Amino acid sequence: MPPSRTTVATVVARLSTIRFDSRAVSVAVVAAATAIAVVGWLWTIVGAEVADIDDVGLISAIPPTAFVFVALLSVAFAASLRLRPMPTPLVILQIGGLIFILYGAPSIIEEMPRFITAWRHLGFAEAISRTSDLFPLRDARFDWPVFFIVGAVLVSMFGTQDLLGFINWIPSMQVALYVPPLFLLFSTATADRRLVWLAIWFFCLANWVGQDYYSPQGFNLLLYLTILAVLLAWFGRTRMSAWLSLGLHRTRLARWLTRLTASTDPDRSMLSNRQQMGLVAGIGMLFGLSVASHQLTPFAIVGATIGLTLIGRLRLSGLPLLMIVLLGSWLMFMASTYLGGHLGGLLDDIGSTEEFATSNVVDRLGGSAGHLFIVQARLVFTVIVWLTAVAGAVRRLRAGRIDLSFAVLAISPFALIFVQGYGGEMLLRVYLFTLAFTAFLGACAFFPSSRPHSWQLSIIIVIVSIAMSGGLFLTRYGNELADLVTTDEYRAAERLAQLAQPGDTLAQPNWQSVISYTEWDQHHYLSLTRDFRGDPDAFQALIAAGTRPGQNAYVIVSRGHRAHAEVYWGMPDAEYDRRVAALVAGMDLVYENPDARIFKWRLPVGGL
Amino acid sequence: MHGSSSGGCPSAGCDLGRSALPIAVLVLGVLSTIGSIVTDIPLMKQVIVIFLAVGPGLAIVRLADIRDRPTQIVVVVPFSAAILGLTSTALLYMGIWSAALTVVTVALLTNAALVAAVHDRAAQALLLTFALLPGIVFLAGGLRVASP
Repeated sequence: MPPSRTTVATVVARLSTIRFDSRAVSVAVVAAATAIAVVGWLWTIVGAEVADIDDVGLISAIPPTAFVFVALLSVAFAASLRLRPMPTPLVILQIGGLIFILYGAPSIIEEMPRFITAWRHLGFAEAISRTSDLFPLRDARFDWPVFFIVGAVLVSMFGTQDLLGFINWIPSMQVALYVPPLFLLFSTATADRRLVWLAIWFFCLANWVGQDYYSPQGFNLLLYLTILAVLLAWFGRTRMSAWLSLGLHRTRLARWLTRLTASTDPDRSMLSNRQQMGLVAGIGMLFGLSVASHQLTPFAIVGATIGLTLIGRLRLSGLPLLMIVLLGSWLMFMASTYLGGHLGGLLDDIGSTEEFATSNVVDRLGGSAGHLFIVQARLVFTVIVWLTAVAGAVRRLRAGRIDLSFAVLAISPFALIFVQGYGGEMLLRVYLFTLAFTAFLGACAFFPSSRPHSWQLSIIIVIVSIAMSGGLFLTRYGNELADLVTTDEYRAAERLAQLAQPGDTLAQPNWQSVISYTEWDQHHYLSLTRDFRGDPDAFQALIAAGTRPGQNAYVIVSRGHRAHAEVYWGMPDAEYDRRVAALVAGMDLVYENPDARIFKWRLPVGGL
Repeated sequence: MHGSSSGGCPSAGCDLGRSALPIAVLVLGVLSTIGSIVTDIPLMKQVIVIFLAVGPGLAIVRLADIRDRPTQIVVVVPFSAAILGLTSTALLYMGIWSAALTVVTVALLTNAALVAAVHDRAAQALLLTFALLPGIVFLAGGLRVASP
């Protein structure tokens, strides 16, 4: 039955009386845009093919249309920052969406967890779970074993294979865990929530160093951020240190400095004894965990607390000393195996800036044309992030604020450069330790004060976000051709573990394979990474020299090895094939799939 | 933290009656202990992971009377990881490590913290009964499984 004219008129009359809350409509539109962006991104990239990844990495396999959805999410985020009051749950969802897009992409596109080192760490955990033992003489990382022991608990409960799905998503989960301490940390410097969320947004967009895989350093960054956030929030101090204000009492300069550096956080200093004791004990526990699980992070924490103490921003002035005692005790008593063998080299490294520059920069400038482009893009990206932070600090200073604590925390990790090169990775780690503070100072370039911002600035934020997301995909996943792991490579490693007997040698052209993910302690590993570009006639002699009498040698050659040779060495396919042929000459092919081959070599009695 | 209290309650213990959280953590701890011994119960592994990830941290938050919500959210997972990491490492260096023993020790420590956070004697006694359950379950059913 058709509705009568009276009914229609009543409905129209009722609709016309409804008053739409313009903010509620705006929030609904922004929420819809956020949902469309995330779902659209997912819908676009599920069809991406691993086979399309070339020597500029993952970005070569992602359809350009996918970045339309990144742009949409950026627009939605910028719109949220303009809404008054800001819809915090929606902003949190947008940050979650950004993390899913930036850090979940390889987890969706690729078949297996990426990054060989993550698999090696899984191998360490598996070895502990099977033997209840540590192996500091085989690998120095066992002198800092907590992360691997916790991994062993998970391996015992889930089994190695079931854990792979979990490890695949660890980067996304870990970056999501960084968000709460970042929020607390940034809240100590400003009451402007736009600045806090934009700084977190930039942190996610600029975290290209990719240390958040299944690794002690990824987890230790969480400890680093948590310790600093709790210290600044609850044990921070607003006045300058005595030595900084020495001789400036009652001068205009002293008053100006005091006003500039005053904390904006009014209500975080009243703690009961029980609360103080609880938080200090908690910080001690977290630092203890860091000391026992990673070589470098505790030094960064100590450096940061010393810096904060020197500028008078920490009420717990004895804390750095206690931390140094704890750290020194661990090194002397628990990491003695490592120190015994490396103390001389470590002492030689101190102050060796030439060695640092060679291992951290010069040695990385090699490989294929695509890889060289990626390395240069990383350097440019890093410099831009740091310059933006400087610009933000200057703008904030001109607006009448100086974030002295954050400036010190952004600078203090650079002291690590003078300690050692850390196997060519120190610059990456310094970038990581400074990132939270450079992201905040960079965000200050957009919101130097709490005044309302223009729509033009919102457009600039969107453009910068799109550019940074492209930059992140390029720089973070630039080595993806080598870093990815295929199912066939995993199956070959599984088969190799079944074939090889305890004590056998497992050899490979370079370290780019997952063969150490299980029964790591059972075999002798021989990676020819240093020698593979040398004399091919010497390959088999090296394997023979590395194989114990009476044991067999296996050689595995896989897609990853070829990709490593192409990306990092710039080795042409024909040259790689020639060298592999020399490596496996006379050996028996015992397993083959599209991505990997395994050869067995029965060494002649008495060697070659 | 006095300024940002959870509803004006002067101590952690008095709002225990209003909050099911400590009870939930206790139950999770007991279930995790059972799950670490009887390994073929569906979804039990997920329960164990949830307990290990947040249970000990929530207990410490209670014990330390941390009232500020952002701070609670920040410290729960790291504190849990610290309890798990330091406990399992201590067991390994003592030569008695196993995953099941790690889970039951963490559950007992968590429950001890929850009991210590309560000020009311009667509630403390009630909680203590539940708090010891992981140990009883472990001793009754899993001593052989847990031995390295």
